[in-house]
Amino acid sequence: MNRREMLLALAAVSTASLVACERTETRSEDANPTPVSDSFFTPEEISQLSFIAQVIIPLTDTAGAIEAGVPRRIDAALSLWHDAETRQNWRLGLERLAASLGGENGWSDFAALDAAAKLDALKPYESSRGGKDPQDIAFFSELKRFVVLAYYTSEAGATEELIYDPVPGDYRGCVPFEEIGRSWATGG
Amino acid sequence: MSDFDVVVVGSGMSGGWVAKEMSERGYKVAVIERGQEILHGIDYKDFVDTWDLENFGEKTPQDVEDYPIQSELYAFGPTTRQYWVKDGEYPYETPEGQDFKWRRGHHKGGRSIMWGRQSYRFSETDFEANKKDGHGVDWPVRYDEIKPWYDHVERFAGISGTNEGLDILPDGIFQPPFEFNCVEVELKKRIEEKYEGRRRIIPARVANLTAPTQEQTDLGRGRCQARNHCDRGCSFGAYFSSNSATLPAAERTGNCTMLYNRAVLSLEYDSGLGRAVAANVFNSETGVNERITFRAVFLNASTITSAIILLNSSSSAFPNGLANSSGQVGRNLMDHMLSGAAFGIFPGFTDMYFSGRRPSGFYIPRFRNHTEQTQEFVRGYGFQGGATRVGWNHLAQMAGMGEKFKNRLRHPGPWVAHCTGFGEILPNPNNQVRLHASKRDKDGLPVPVIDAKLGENDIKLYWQMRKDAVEILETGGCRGIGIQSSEDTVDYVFGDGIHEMGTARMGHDPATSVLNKWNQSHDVSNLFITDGSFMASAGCQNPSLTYMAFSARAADHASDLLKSGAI
Repeated sequence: MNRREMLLALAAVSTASLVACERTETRSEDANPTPVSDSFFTPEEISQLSFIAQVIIPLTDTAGAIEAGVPRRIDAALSLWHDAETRQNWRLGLERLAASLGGENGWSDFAALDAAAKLDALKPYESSRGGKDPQDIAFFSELKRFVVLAYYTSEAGATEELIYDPVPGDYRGCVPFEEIGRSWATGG
Repeated sequence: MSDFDVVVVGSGMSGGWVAKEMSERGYKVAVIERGQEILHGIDYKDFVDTWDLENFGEKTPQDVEDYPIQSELYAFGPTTRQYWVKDGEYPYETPEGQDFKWRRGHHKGGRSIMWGRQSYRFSETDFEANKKDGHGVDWPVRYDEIKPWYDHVERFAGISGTNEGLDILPDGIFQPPFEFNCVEVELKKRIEEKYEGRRRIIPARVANLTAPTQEQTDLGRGRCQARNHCDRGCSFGAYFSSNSATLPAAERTGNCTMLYNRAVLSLEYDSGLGRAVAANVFNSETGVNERITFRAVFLNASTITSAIILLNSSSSAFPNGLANSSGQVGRNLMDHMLSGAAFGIFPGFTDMYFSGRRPSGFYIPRFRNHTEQTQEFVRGYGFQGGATRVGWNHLAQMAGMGEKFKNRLRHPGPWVAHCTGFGEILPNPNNQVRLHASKRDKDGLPVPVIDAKLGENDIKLYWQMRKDAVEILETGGCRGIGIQSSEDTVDYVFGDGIHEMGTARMGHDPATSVLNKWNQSHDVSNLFITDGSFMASAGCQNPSLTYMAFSARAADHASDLLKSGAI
């Protein structure tokens, strides 16, 4: 029985007690089951995106952006679901951002910074008063939106960083927060 | 000998009911569905995990190109795309300077798959409204007459809610409600106290099972699992749709034949017999036209398409379209002004959260021109709303990065409450659906020209509705209240409510109405229309439950007439 059939069988009996099995079943070996596609980004671009994404969502007691497969997820989304114009904007935006972040020796200067310095280097792109080109600010905002989206909808982001409950069974309206402990991965 | 006793045109909310009621009474029924079959459960994407969603669950540039009008909707995305028409294939036109948003799908179950599930009865106030204030024609039905049919459809469909003893929103047969969260309990207390009960906040009444009956479980339906992505379709069959409930009930009788990928282009009238005798159908799979004969026919194609089919069915007996001696077919198009979405932060309760995702919220029944009068306009509005805590997707819009940012998103933000108005639009004969002179859609049906504008009363009501949405949240204790529209423009576009109705209204007088009190054509005795077309006024309640009740009642009546040989 594959996962799909198993879930349909579950639906057919409508038994919440089986949900525990279903959750185990959905744990995939691969932390990033996004369909394999022709990669859009070059290895260099993926590397640049990875550095930046990891500043936005670093590794802590849970996965950071890289561990959650965020760069690959963004690459897959752009390859599969976006048009050439959007992809081109990303290519151009990333190229400009990398150039802007890099020092005298180019991108490698940024890559060599420690985590705190990387964060400081990126902060000005979040503010119109940081002295950065509006085009780069706009691109960074879109990049951050994608990183956040790709992270919190990833398996690691949803199930480890936050709490994911595909089949809650019940709605309870007033529960002490400490009983739950973290944000739900999927909204209320 | 006819091909079928009864032909039902459309398998959505109302057509499903007719199919069920007529099949169960032993008639040979054909449901002609314009779109494809959707296999209950199998074809739903309700078990797709967030990490497997296409494009992180967001619509794509291709979607915007293929579905420019449909994809604007909250309920459009990679998991629901299959339920919406491609706008280019099924176009419509509006007069210069006007707009109309026509959101729909062609498939088994129609919009009963994507609907919002809010289920409210019309009250005596609604049925008396036209007579009292002189707009439209008098409803030929009063609440007492339809009440047993509301009971009938609620019992079968399964509506969760509470009995409140309100005459403006009659009680019904309800399964237990979804509970209020802490903030909603507090809002209710404050608002009901402040307005001394004139404004009430009650649990939304939704067609989601909370305590399924034997009849429901026998159909394979189960209890709501609080996932709140109903619009993907529900493999548990926990919310009412044609697919989960009425069509399986019809099909298990062995009397119901489903005919997919067939668009009814017109109905054929036999002037000798004085009856409609056949549906002319375009089979989009074979590309061949078919003729399907019947003893009685029900139009349930949704109000705009039902009107188009009638208008496209002219004959020497009915030069202006079948059953249109009154000239009212296509007129009196109504909707609900779904607008004035106010939202605000509710301070406090930050140590409290919720679990599960409730497929509902609260409802504020109409108080305007009921418990609170105004001289500015007639009729009124209700509000749907709810409270929740701000999630990561909204919190992330704030500036920030790094570990602090990540930790912030690990915790929910403040509680926010929202409140959205559903305003009544008056029947107006100038709001009209017409046939385009030459253009046809992909199936060969004339393209509709949809010509509808808000009237003076509607606009006055709209502004008060917006003010009241904000005032209610303020009174409830919310702060920083905003409204999802600019200060001085009417942000509602006709059709936005997705409650279009009224193009074949019922009434006492054949000279001014299309249908009699049984949803039966005044002109053509074996023609019934039980989609939203029959509505003589719109009320402000979500209309599906009323379509269901009138469909079941009309089917019962048609059955009597067929049995007696009257039709």
